[in-house]
Amino acid sequence: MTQSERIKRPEPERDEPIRNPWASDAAGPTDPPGSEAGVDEVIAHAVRLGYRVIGDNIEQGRAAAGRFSQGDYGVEDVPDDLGELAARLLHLGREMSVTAFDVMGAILRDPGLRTAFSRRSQARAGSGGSTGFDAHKPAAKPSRPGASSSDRAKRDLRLTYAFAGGGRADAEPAWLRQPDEMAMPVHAGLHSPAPDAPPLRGITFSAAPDGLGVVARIDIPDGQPPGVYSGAVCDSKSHHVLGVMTITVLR
Amino acid sequence: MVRPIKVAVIGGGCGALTAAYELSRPEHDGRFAITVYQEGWRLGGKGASGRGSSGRIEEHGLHIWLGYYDNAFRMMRECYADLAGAAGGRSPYGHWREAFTPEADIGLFGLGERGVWQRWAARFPPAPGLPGDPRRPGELLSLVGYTARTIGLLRTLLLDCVVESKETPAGPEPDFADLSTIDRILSACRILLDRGAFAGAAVLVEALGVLGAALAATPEAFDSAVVRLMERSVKGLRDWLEANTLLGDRHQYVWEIVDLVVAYLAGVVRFGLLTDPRGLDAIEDYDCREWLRTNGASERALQSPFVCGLYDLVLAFEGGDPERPSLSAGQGVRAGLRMFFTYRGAIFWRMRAGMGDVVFAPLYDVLRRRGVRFAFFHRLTNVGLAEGGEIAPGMRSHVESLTFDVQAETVDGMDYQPLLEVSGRPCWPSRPRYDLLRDGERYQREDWSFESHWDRRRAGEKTLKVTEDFDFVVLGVSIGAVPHVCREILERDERWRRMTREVQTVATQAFQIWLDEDVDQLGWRGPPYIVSAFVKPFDTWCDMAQVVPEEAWSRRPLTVVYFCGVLQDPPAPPADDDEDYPSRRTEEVRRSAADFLRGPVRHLWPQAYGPNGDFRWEILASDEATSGSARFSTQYWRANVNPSDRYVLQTPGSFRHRISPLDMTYDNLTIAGDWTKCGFNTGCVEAAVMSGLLAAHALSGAPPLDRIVGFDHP
Repeated sequence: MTQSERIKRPEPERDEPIRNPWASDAAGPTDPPGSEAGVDEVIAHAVRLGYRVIGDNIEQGRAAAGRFSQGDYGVEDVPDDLGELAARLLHLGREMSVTAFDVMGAILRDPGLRTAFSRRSQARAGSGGSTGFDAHKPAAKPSRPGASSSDRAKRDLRLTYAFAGGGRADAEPAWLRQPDEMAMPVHAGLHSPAPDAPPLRGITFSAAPDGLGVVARIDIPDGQPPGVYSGAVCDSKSHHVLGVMTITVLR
Repeated sequence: MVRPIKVAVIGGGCGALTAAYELSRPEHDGRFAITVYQEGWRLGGKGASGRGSSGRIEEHGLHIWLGYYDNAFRMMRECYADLAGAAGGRSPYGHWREAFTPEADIGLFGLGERGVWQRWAARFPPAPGLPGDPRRPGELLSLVGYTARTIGLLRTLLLDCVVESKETPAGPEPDFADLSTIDRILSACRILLDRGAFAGAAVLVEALGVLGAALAATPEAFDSAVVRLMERSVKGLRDWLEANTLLGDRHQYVWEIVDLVVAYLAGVVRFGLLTDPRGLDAIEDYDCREWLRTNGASERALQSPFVCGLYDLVLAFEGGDPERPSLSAGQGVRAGLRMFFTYRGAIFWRMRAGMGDVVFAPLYDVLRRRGVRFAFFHRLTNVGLAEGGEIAPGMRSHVESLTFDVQAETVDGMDYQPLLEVSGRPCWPSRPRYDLLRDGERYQREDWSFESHWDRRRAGEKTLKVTEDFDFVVLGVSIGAVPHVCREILERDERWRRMTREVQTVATQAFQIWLDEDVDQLGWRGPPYIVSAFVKPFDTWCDMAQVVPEEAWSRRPLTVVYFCGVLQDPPAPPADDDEDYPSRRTEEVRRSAADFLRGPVRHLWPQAYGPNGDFRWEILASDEATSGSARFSTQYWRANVNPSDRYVLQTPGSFRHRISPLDMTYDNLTIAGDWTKCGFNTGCVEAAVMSGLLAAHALSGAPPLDRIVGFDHP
């Protein structure tokens, strides 16, 4: 280093805190401060039970997301002759899930589906594929250029849109890459090239009603300037881009 | 030989000094050569204090540390240990446990129905551990964990209230063991709704968590139905409590808190906070009251001492106007959860003496021992950038120069020695040590105000150049001063313009009175509370008797009491050449304080008034011979109107305009202070320390981000 050389700061790994509500220990510290002493055990039990429902839901979703991202299976892998189980899956999805990952969690807990998947996995193993339903493989391979939509559907999540609010909008479905690690989709809003147009930030993700993808629910405020809005969808853990949402706000 | 990286740290508040502390760690092996540039004669920023006549402690306001200030306590504990080690165990600062003492009580005031001020008090039990103890990975709670703890608090509050129920418990116990369907969950809730005992109500509140599970697990088509049912459940609980617990004001307060807790729980599930990757930032666009109101809190609860105290304690009033309370919901909830559920040892910690003495003197001492240089009497006037035009988001630039007014020079160019000894401990004086300054006598005679934004007198000017004089900059001035010292950045960077516009600050006021009678003698009943939600403008006060032995009175008073609150801004901001502005506002504070003693203090200390109803001015302790109301002139008051003294607010939506110390727009600059996007966006010591840790990380990669407690937090 010479005397006149200007030094630059190192690039930070990130510049935002991780806000995931489940990021901390869901069970809490083993010696929680303060309020524990006066809590009636019966009520505490009920509370724990209630929150375990949420914790289970999240944990199952996370676990499913992790396995899903390993590329061992896709929803479309469910054999056609499992119609009844598929119907049960949809029912479970409606009752239990808010995300595609939760749907996968429900799949994993269904003994019938597990059996079906195991059979298919064994078949795969025989042809050099996966060694089993619960086996973990390295992360999914990146998309190949020119891959067919059928190939793509086996790896990626189909993203559709639902619009709410006073404004109108339109969009074509898109694809989201599977995250490298279990993670949730996050976004930084949809932005317009027009400098005066405020970004669209009221966006939530949920499972598609058919359990085969993700729906982005977007609030279009009344009076939102018309035009094209776009923005990246990232995974909450690595902040890698999973895909791009593009919509058109109509007059 | 590799030359050290020269770091210019601008400012001497908690954020700036934390960055200096981290960068000067022995582990860096001298990699950074650090100079702290500070206007005036003392460190501390908004936490600066000084010693006045009789060695008395004169503060900016009331500073209490909270038991969850893990990063701040960790630094101070290390600091005290370093000093003890260096002094062979005979450090004048002593052990950190002598410097900080636990406080379990808080008092709040509310105006009762008959126009009488009613007091509500809470004692928070000791919690395991001490603040700053290492935390296990993942020890901080998730939102689910916090929510369960919130219900625990609710239960504790309910148990704290003696209820004379007019109803008898009815209906079978709900079957919590089978919550496999929405119908069963709702059925259980309805059963709970019909029960008439407090315990049943508590179970109902907890069942709301189960309802939350149902809400989270239900597709959109069911959302509105579940929300409606939950709202009805909350209302049912509210109605029941209203009918059964309003037996007196004390119960009213309990009910108000129950109301707020239920609203919080409803909000958690209605807003999907348990699964939102934004965590509590998802509700940052709401005001706290507005968000609680949205979730069913009653108007009475929203105006309760608990909520008023929350706003008062963080001075959350735009422009200092009591009619414009403003506190973002996400950070308000986050701070509340941290405060109630993650404290260790005690919920509050008092300092033995002034914050300058307990925090900034030992920090200064340690930093000096590590080779950090201090340039006092250096007021930053401009941050010069590399040539170019508008700096759009994603573009980069760097700092080329730093320009300072040199306010004063020392005799013979020696380093300024800022500390004096009072009662055997190093302390900051309330005035410069004129004897160490060239022309010091003249400065004293002409009353140069080195800390006044409006006093621009100076001895000279100095410009530092990048690579020659510095490599990196830690900008640690407060955001109120940024428009005055970063004009070039603001001219070219819309993000900084927006930040200085949207991240608001508020002026504050404070006064201290030393008393020859203690508060018990004056009619106060109860422990020496930290008291808030009292009458404006001095809505928060604290009996600070513990600091008196540290002072140097010829005849020691029995106690000293600190009062503070916001100070309303004038309709138009003062001009930069309005030299008298600080003295006019200070005089205004003096009059307000004296009137406060004549009036509202009567509710606190009835025995402080004579038979004719006048305040007994003779109870004010003074080494001067004065009498009557003139005796108040011997006490201490101040108006914190300097831009850098203004308290930083967290108004709804403002979080997205804050800039992180990790932001790379300027590749040789980082920022520090409680105004930055530091993960805990509130005006407090802990936020400032977190920002300093982030600033150090930005320059050195250390400490790792996961070592900053509470940075990654919902």
